[in-house]
Amino acid sequence: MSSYAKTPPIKRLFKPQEISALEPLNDREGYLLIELDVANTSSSLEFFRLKVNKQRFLKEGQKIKRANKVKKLTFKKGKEGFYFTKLPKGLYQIKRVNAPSFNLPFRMSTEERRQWRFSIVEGKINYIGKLEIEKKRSSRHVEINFLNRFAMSKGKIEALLIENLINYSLELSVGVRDDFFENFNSGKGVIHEK
Amino acid sequence: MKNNLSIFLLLTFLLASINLDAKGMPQNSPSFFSKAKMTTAIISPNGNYIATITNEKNGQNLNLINSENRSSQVLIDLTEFASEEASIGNITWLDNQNISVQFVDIKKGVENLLDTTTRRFLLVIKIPTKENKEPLIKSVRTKGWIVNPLIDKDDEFLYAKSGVYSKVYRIKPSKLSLHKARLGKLGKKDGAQFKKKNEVVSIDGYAVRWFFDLAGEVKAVLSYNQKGELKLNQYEEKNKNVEVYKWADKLDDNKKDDRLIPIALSSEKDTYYSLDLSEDEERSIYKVNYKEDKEQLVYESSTHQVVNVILAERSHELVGLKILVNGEVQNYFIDNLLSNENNSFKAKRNNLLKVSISQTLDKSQSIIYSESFNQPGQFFTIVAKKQQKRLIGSFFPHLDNKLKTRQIEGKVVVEGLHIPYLLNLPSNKSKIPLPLIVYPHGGPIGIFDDHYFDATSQYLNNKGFAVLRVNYRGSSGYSLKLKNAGKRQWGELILEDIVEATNKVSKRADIDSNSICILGMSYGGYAATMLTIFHPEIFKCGVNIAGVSDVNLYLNSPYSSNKQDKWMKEYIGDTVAEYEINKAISPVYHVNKLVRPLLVIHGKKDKVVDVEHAFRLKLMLEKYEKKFEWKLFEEQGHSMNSPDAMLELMETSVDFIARQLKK
Repeated sequence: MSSYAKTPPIKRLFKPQEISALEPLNDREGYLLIELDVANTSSSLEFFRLKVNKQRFLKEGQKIKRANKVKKLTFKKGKEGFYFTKLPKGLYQIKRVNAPSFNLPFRMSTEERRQWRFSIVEGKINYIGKLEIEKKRSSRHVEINFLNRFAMSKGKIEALLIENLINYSLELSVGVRDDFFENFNSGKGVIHEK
Repeated sequence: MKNNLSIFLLLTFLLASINLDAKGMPQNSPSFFSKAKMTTAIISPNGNYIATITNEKNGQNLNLINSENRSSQVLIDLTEFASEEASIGNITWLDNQNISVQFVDIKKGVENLLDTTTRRFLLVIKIPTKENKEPLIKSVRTKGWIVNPLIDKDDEFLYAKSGVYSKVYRIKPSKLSLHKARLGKLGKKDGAQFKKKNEVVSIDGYAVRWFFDLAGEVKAVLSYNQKGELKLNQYEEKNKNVEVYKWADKLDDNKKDDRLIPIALSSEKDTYYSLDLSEDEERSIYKVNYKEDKEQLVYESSTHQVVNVILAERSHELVGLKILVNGEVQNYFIDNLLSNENNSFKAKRNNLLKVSISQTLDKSQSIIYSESFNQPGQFFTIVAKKQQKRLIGSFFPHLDNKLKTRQIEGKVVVEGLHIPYLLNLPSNKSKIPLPLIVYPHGGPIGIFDDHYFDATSQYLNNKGFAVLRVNYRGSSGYSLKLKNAGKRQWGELILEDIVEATNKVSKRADIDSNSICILGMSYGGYAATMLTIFHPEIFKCGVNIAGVSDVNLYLNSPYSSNKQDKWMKEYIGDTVAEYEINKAISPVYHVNKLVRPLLVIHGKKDKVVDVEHAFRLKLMLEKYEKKFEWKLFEEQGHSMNSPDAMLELMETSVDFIARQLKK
């Protein structure tokens, strides 16, 4: 039996949009903002929402519970830059990355890794990270990384939002606890005594 | 008169272009970070020839040196022989006429049409009978690897081929075809030697390592069986083996031998040199007897990941390691083995490393590798009878016997623990106290600064700085007590050790306690930032190279494997349960307190400490309007081992430090 037969049905497909094509948000929705550097054809992320109570990251010992069916975010070849899509608020787990290469259906399971989570805050632009997919023909090797590059990309994102007169505020929404942006913005939480 | 003037101007120009140190010794900066010239040397069984590998301007050469008259001939010039990215390594004498060398070539593909492929061959080179004649270069085209050169037997070696059934064959170099020759219709690949008649031993399963003793007898095999289980089988007699150990599917930390994988046979019965797969990167070498369930830690590499061991050809004693440096395998020769009796290392420490790496069959001639803190590696031949020692070649010939720096070893007691340090001093013994650069190593766990040649310290000495390297708690190479004491001390006692060692050294009459800066890479970069923030009374400036600035961001690294994730949780901290503790030891959240200038340097392709760490620090430094300088290397990774990048990095750092200390 082919492994395709085991793939669970995908409830909904999302195609990331450029900022100029942003649709207005509905209630309980936020924008997902992802930075892409994808070298493959038809790469995609499969993800699902976690059953949590208004949490932006899981607590110690808390297990992953799926709240709904798997969704899919698809990318075209050679996409670089920042892309958006609307999503209901919540904490999400990316379960698999598909990066077909060299005529092979290359895929990587990420279901158990906390680094492959993101959260969506209602009414915000949620930066979830940078997806890099590199391929090396010499070894038929595909390297996939999901990087928290918020500080590195912050200037570019803000310039993009200003240029397009987007009024939603930016949020660092990786799916693990990360106080950096909050501390940077407010100055609060900076530790004054060692 | 005109001619004299021209000569005067020419000499003036030449002198001006050379950087002279205090003793007038010419030291062009690049020399400290260039690629090693000679990387290995081995002597033929009868001692008539020495084979060496050297790095030349455009690639590697395999050379043949006549032991008697020292005439040298290039056997393979890779620039002519193969593509730019080709490489050679693992040279072995098969007998007095034949040398084998592992050859890797890259055949470039065409985008979206042809794949780029890597091709590996074992080349067998028949040395020319007369000088300056061309050597015969043959190859084994069947995929596999040499398992024993059978050095005392002419025209024979053992070669392994793995598959569903794995076998070792006896191969004759004389029957192999020339490397680039096309086989005709009647031509037989590898002289049709891979057949039943030449089979030495076989096993049902995929062999990954065969272990042979010095006499060429098979002793064991490490293989995967049909179920995918890894197992070690030992041979009691030829073709009769018994399984002595089987590894579980997943690494089981509680089952101690599961983490130790054998890579070579030692000289002791049923004992193997093994690597510890539970380490974040394999750096420790163990001797393990799987049958009797005994293990002994015998060596720890100071920095790099170990991929194999180098054994003395006639004794199977450990003389070096194959280490991974920026994706390239390099030889690293080591000092006397560390005894691990009572869990305590008793290293015979002196400042000179001297190890026999190759010997003739009658043991009358040897090749010695030697290195010290101010002398980069050199290869010598020693003729036992004549007590004669002759230089064959060096890592950095331009530095041979040129460095007159000093090294002082000391220790300081911090919270009841002896913290060793090394202080490197420039050659000049002027009465003016020296500025000091504290240079903590990376890691911080399981890495240490050894007593031998360190290019960065010597470069900084050459620029007039004293250099302090502290083997703080967590460092390997000394004692398990010291190493284990570093657990979860990232932002605590490790930093305290560096401060205490600095305080002690700064009291020396030859050190200017008002001119101290701290420079470090990786964990050293983290330490440099933290100590510049919290100890401005000691450190006038800091240089953070590829340093961690947010500990939780590091613990959530996308590049770490599950194994590394588990290791970090145990040795650094738990980002989920201990977020606040990790935040409290993260420099990025203390930037408001910084009062000394900081230089931040990072490689954009760093896959150990992501470049995001540098950008977070930069944002905070800008927010609080702190004095800092910034340099991003677009093409560099974590180690910055490209000679040009390393030089630029050090020049930038020295320039920054010199400007801060002048104020």
